Amino acid sequence: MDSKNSQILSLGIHAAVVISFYALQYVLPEYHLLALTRIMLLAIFALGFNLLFGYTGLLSLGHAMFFAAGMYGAGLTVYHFGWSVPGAFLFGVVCGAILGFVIGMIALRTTGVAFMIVTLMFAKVSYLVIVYFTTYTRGDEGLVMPAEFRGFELLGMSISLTDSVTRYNLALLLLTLTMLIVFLLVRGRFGRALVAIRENESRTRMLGYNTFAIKLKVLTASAALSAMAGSAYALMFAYIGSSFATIQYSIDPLLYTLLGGAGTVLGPVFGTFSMFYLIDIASEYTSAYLLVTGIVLVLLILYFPKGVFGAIRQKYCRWLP
Amino acid sequence: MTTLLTTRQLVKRFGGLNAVAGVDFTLEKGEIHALIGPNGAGKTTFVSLLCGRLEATEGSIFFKGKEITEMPAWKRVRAGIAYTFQITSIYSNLTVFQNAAIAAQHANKPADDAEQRAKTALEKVGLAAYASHEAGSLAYGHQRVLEVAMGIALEPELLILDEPTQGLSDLEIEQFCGLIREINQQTTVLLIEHNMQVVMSLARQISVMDQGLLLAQGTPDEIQANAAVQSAYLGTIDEENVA
Ligand SMILES: Nc1ncnc2c1ncn2[C@@H]1O[C@H](COP(=O)(O)OP(=O)(O)OP(=O)(O)O)[C@@H](O)[C@H]1O
Ligand SMILES: [Mg+2]
Repeated sequence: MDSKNSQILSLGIHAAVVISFYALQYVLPEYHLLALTRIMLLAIFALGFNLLFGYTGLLSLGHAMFFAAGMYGAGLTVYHFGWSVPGAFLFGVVCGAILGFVIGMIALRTTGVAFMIVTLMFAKVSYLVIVYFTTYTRGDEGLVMPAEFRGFELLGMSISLTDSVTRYNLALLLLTLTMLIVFLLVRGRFGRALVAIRENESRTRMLGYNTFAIKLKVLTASAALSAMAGSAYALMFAYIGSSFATIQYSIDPLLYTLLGGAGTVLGPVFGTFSMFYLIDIASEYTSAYLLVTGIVLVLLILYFPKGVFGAIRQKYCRWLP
Repeated sequence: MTTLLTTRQLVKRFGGLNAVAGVDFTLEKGEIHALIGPNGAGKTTFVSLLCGRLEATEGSIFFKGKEITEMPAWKRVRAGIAYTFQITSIYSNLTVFQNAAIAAQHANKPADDAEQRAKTALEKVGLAAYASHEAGSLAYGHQRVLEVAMGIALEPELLILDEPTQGLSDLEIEQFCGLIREINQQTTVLLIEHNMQVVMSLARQISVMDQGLLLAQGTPDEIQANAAVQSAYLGTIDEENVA
C-alpha cells in the first residue's frame, strides 16, 4: 500500500474510534459514562507515557509525578487562589511541562535501568513533597474542590463540570486532541528520529542528531500530556489527593501501554479501556483484583510482547502509526 | 590542494594504554586516503576521535580550518564528517529504506527531499530492490553496504569508512571500489582497510599506523618502498601481489 492511502486509512481508523466514543454517550448508563470519562483521561496519561516509552524507548517509572503536577497545579490554584477552571487547567499543563523539562535535564543523562531508577526516585520525592506540605495539600486525605468552582464560562457558553455528559464530552475532546498531537508528532521526520533513538541511540548521534535535545523535547511533551490528564482529572472529579502520586500511578500507564501495544497510537487507549474494565469486573468477584493485573501482565509478556495493537500491526498493517 | 583536516599531537589514552599516542595527520581535500596498520594499531580509535565518537585525551583536531576538538559528535556530522562503523551498526528492526532515510533527513539539508536522497543513496550502492526489507534480515555483505549507504545519504564532505570490505565477496569488493571512486568525485574519503589490493587500487595517499603512532605517510609506491613499513607490517604485501 502506498504511503498516502495508508495515511488516509489510518486517519480513518482513528476517527472511527473517536466517533464510537462519541456515540456511546447516547446508550451508556450513568455508571459507565463515569467510568469511560475516567478511562479517557487515563488514556491521555497512557498516550503521554507511550510517547516516551513506546516511540523513544525510554522507560520512566515515575510518570505519576507528571500526572500529579497537573493535578496539583490545577487543584491548588483553584482551591487556594480561586482561579477559574480554564486558567487552572492550563496552569496544570504548564506545571507538568516545566517539571518534565527540569527532570529531563537531570534524568536524561542516564539511560536504561539508571533512567528507570532516577525517575522512580524523583516520583517518590514528588510524593513526599505533597505530603510534606500537608497544610496546603492535606496530603493523603486530599482536597475537594469547592462547588462554586465547578462551572465556567468559555466563548460565551456556560459549562458545568457537575454534569456527567458534559464531562464525558470534554474528556473526549481532550483525548481526541491528544491522539492528534501524538499522531502528528510520531509520523514524519520527528517520529523517525524518535524511533531511531529507540532502536540505536549511539548510531543516531553519529548521523547528526542531537539526541539529548530530542529526548528532552519528547520528555517535556510526554510530561505535559500526562499533566493534562491529571489537570483534567482534578477539575472534573473535584478532588486531589496524594494517592495519585504513588508508584501505582506510575505503573498503570505502563500496564495500559503494554497491554494495548507500545509505540502505537490506539494501543494505550485500548489498553486503558481493557485494563480498567478488567479490574472493575474482577473486583466484583475478588478483593485480590491486583492479582488479575499481575496475571494479565505475565501472560502479555509471554504471548503478546508487543501488545494487542503491536501484534496487529506486525501481522496485518505495518503502516499503522 | 587545500587541507581538509589536520590533527596535532592527538592522544587517546584508555587507562594506561596509549591507543593513539600523539598523531600529527593531514588530510587533503578530494583525496582517497587509506589508513593501514596491524590489528590493535589504533586506527579505529584514531578515526573515532576525528568523528567525535570518542573524546581526545590530548591534542587538537581542525576541520576546514576550524578547531573541532571539543565539538560533540552530532555537530561534526552536520559539519560534514560522516563515519561508518567497523562493526555493522544499522537499525536492524527497521526497513532498509528507513535506515537510509534516518541518515538522509540530516538537519542541514532541505527536509522535503530527504526521502529522495535516501532512495538515491540506496540506488548508488545497489540496495534499491531491498528498500522494504527489514535491515536485520539482509545478508551480511548487504548490511555492510547499507552502512556505507547511510554514510552517503549524509552527503558529507569527509566520509570515513572503517574496514568496509570486511566480509564482502570478491565481486562485491570490486563493485565497492567502483562506488568509492564515484563517491570521491564529491567527497574526500578516509578509508581504513586491511585488503591491500583495495588500498593499492584506490588510495592516493596512505598512512601507516602502528602502536598508536603514524609510522609513515606517502603515495602507494613510496609506502611499498619504505623499509620501516615493510618490517612493521607490510611483509605480506609482496606475497599477496605475487599470488
Ligand atoms: N574502549 C576501549 N577501551 C579500552 N581499550 C580500547 C578501547 N578501544 C580500543 N582499545 C584498545 O586500543 C587499541 C587500539 O584499538 P583499535 O580498535 O583502535 O585498533 P584498530 O587499529 O582499529 O584494530 P583493528 O584492525 O583490529 O580494527 C587496542 O589495543 C584496543 O584493545
Ligand atoms: Mg578497527
